[in-house]
Amino acid sequence: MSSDGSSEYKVEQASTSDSRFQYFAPTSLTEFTELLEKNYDHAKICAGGTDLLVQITQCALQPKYVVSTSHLEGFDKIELNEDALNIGSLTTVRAIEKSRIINQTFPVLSEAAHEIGAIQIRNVATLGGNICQNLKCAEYNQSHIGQFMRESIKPCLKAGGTACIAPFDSLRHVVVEKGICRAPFVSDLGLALHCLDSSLTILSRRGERIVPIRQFYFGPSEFDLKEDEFVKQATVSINGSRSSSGFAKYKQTANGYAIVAVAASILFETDNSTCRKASISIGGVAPSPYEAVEAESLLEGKKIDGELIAQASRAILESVKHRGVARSFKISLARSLAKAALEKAVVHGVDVN
Amino acid sequence: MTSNINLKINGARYAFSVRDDETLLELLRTRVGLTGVKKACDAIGECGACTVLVGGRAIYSCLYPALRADGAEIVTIEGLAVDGGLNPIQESFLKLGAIQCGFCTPGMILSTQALLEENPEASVQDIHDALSGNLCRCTGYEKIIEAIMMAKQTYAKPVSRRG
Ligand SMILES: Cc1cc2nc3c(=O)[nH]c(=O)nc-3n(C[C@H](O)[C@H](O)[C@H](O)COP(=O)(O)OP(=O)(O)OC[C@H]3O[C@@H](n4cnc5c(N)ncnc54)[C@H](O)[C@@H]3O)c2cc1C
Ligand code: FES
Ligand code: FES
Repeated sequence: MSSDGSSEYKVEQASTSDSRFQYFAPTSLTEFTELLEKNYDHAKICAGGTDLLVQITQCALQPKYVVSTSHLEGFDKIELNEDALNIGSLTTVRAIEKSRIINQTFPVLSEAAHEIGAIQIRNVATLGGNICQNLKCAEYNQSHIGQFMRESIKPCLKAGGTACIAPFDSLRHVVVEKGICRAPFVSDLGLALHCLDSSLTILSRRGERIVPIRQFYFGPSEFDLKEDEFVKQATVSINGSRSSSGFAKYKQTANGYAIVAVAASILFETDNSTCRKASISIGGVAPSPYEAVEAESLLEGKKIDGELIAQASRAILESVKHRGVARSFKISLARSLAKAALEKAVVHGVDVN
Repeated sequence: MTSNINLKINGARYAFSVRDDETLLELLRTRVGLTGVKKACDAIGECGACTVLVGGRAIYSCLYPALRADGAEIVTIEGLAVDGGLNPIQESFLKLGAIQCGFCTPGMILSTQALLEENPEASVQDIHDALSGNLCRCTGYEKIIEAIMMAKQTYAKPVSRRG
């Protein structure tokens, strides 16, 4: 018996099989970044681990070293000052969902957080992990077949094959083709940060750099992030004038990824009704966040009302030529979700300001 | 590679030597014998059968490195009993027949426990939200929601004496 009266056990036998990776939990930032630099291309950051461990199970990632952030301190703060909202990368998705500060300034972020996975995921998942998560595709890392079965089918492009084997017309793939992989962008917080035009502070042994998120998601399924870099925080600047934002998502299971999701934000002129700038970012339809400029330009410079929102939403993805049943459905989803997100933004605008 | 960790599980202290890629799920089931922690989708994070409480919060133990849990307090379904009897949530699940095959039940009950600790006034919407990460292939969820509404009434004060 120990001092507090509870019984004490020692279970000695360590499991016999070999570990798939070596786990490190550095206690200082210097040690952390050194480990990443030294093991470039072989090490992966594990923040919440809710994506990384799934990727390892699915054999989409096979890092030799897993470097945990669990002992790093000070990266989980939500801070609002006069010109910006800063969110540390290790802030949990649950904390973002629950934060009054965020909800009162940029509700699109807390709404997006609320839509992610299940509570069990949100309790451990982090902002940094969410925006840096691997792309999702049934042919690559999302199927329920075991490794044995996967080895019996042709590998997809991402898994070392020669071509993308994803179907052309599918609910879980892109509508707008860019590049040769059809896996869509599904990070809900990435989408919200995209529509807010935020920026990321990224650090490594080489120092710190600041990257606008639109540049971070620069290419189809690619991020502006080196293997030894750590996203430290996201910053959303406050423009002074009235701004409002909202999020809408369609998913097929309660804890599933977006089939389509829309993050929208509107910046008003001083008259509080004319739109100076509109920002509509759509997930699930392209390999990176899709910016609906066709709708944004219809809103800008005009007084916002229900009719204008409906009209702008109808213009979304109009230029997509090749459509099957699934793609057409996704396009109509994008339009109705954009309408819902913009309407939410207008309503929140009243509360926020 | 193995490393040593200390855990408090259902109130008792344990010391383990853990393989680097061992999950909390594997550790609880195979080394402590807590088979109330179920393994279904196994490290995909979709079913919730492996739900346990770490520091009072519900998490998926299949996606939680055991090494990360070092120093943590863990509660599994085996630790919910109050003085050898059932806790109010367990009782109302039984009473209302919110169990069929029972495979999802430990996870459901632990998610409920975390919810009611945080928000004893939880609405039906809050319950839907809190259980969205727990799949049940038998009951159709209605009975489960009813059972939780019932447990809510008897849930006077936090019952996880080992928290
Ligand atoms: C069942 C289920 C449902 C999900 N549903 C959704 C959903 O609806 N929407 C959604 O957006 N996501 C979803 N996810 C994906 C994912 O779990 C979450 O996005 C989560 O936020 C990832 O965070 P994490 O801290 O657990 O990431 P980790 O698994 O720790 O990391 C993910 C990746 O990012 C890298 N990384 C982590 N932190 C940093 C950092 N600070 N700097 C640089 N690189 C970093 C890691 O190396 C890893 O490659 C779901 C996952 C599961 C299992
Ligand atoms: S076994 Fe952990 S979520 Fe299914
Ligand atoms: S009772 Fe069978 S899975 Fe829920």
